[in-house]
Amino acid sequence: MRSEKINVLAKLSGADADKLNLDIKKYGVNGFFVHLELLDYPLDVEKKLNEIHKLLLSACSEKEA
Amino acid sequence: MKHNIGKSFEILFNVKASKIEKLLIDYRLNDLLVAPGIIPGITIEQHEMIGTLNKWTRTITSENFSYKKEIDPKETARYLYSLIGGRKTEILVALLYNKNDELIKSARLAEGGISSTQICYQALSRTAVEYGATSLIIAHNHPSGNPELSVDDIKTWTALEKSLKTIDVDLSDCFVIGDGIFCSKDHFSPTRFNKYAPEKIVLDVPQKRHDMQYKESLNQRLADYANLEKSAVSDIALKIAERALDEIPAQRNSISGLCDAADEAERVISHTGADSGVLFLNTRHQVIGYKTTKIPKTACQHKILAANALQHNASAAIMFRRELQSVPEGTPLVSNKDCTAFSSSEKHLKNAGITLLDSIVLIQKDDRFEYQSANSKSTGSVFLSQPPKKSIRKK
Repeated sequence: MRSEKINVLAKLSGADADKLNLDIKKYGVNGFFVHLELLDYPLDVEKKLNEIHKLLLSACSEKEA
Repeated sequence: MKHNIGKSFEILFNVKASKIEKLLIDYRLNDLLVAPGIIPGITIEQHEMIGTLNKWTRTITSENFSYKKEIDPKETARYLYSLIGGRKTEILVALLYNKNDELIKSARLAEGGISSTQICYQALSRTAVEYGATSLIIAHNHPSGNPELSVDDIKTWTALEKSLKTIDVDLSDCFVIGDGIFCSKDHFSPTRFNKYAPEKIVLDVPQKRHDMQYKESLNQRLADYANLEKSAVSDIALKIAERALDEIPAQRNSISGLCDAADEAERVISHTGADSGVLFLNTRHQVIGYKTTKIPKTACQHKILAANALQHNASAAIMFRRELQSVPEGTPLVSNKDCTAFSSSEKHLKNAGITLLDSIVLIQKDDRFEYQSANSKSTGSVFLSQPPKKSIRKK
C-alpha cells in the first residue's frame, strides 16, 4: 500500500506513484536518490526529483549544523 | 545556498524564489518546512505538500544509508546486475565513491544500441569532480547476456584510467555485466556470480517503543533474520534492534492534576533557567517533551509552537510562565495579559488538534515555587528540586 508521503512525492515530481513506491522500497530513500539516474524516469521528472533531493539534503545538513 | 533553495521552491511549488530568499534571512529552511504557513500566499495543498517534505527529511536522516565498496568483485557484480542487468540496450554507468569508499552517486554516462556505447571522457571527469568523488567503478551491460570482453573495452578502460588520473580520481575497477556472468579489469575470463540480489529488509525500529508486545515481535523477527543470508539485513538495523531490546523502559511522568503540572514545570525551569515554556503530553497525559519558549504573541509564533507540538506527536500541552517581579501579597499571579495570551495559544493549538490542558504562572519564594492555574485560578506550592538557574531573559 502506498503511503501519503509517496503520493505527495509523486504529485510534486509528476512521477508514476507505483514505480516510485517500488523503487523506494527496493533501494531505500537515500539509495533511491543515489541511483535516480539509472531508474529510467522521464527527464523532467528526474529533474524535479533532483530538486527535491537537494532541498531535503539542505534541510538535513541544516539540522546537523 | 539561499538562491538554490529559492529556485527549488519555485520549480516545485511555483512560489517565487525571491519570496523564499527574503524569508530565509529571518528563518531557517527547517522553519519553513515545519511551519509552511510562514510563506505568504500559499494554498492549503502547497502547505500540506511542504509539510510532507519535512517528514521525508526525517526519513532520510533516520535511514543510515551507507553502501561501502565491496572487496569481493562477485558482490560488486551482483549489485551492478541489480542496477543494469537484464536491459535490452547497452548502458554505461559509473559508481562514484568518496574517500571513505562509500557510494555517493551512480551516474548514467551513456546509453547505446544493442552492441556499443560511446564514452564521453569529459562528462565522466565532470561528474566525478561535481560530486567530489575520489574513486569510481565503471560498468556496462551486454544485453546478449555474454560478457565477453572486446579489444575496444580494454582500450577504453586504459584510456579512462589515464584521463581520470589527471584529476586525481582512481578507477578502482571496470565491469562488463552479463546474465549471471561478468568480466572485469582483474577477471578477464568470464566469472559466475549469483545474480539474485537479496531483497532488502527494512527493520522498523521506532526509538520510543518499549512495550513488551513490541519487544516480543522484535525478538521473533530477529530470530527469523538469523536464518537469512547475512547481507540481507543491514548490520546497522540489527544493532539498533538489539539496542532497543536492551533498553530499560523510559520512566515518564504522568500529569494527573495541577500539582503534577507545577512539579514538572518547576523541574524544567530549575534545569534550564527558562522563564516560560510548554510541556508536551501524549494521549495518556505523560510528559513526552518540552520546549522553552516565550509565550507566543504573533500568529507566526503560534504556528511555530503548534508545529513543535506536532513534531513531538503531542496530543495535549501545558504552558507555564515564571514571574520574575515580586507580586504584592493577595494579588493573583495570573494577570489579564496572561489570560489573553494563554487563550490565544489555546485556539491555535486547538486548530492543530492539540488540547491546552492548563496554563500556570509560577513565582519563586525562598525554597519553593508558588503557582496559580489560569483555568481554575487555584493556587499551591512545590518545593525546588534544585536551586533554579538564573533567568535567561536578557535585561
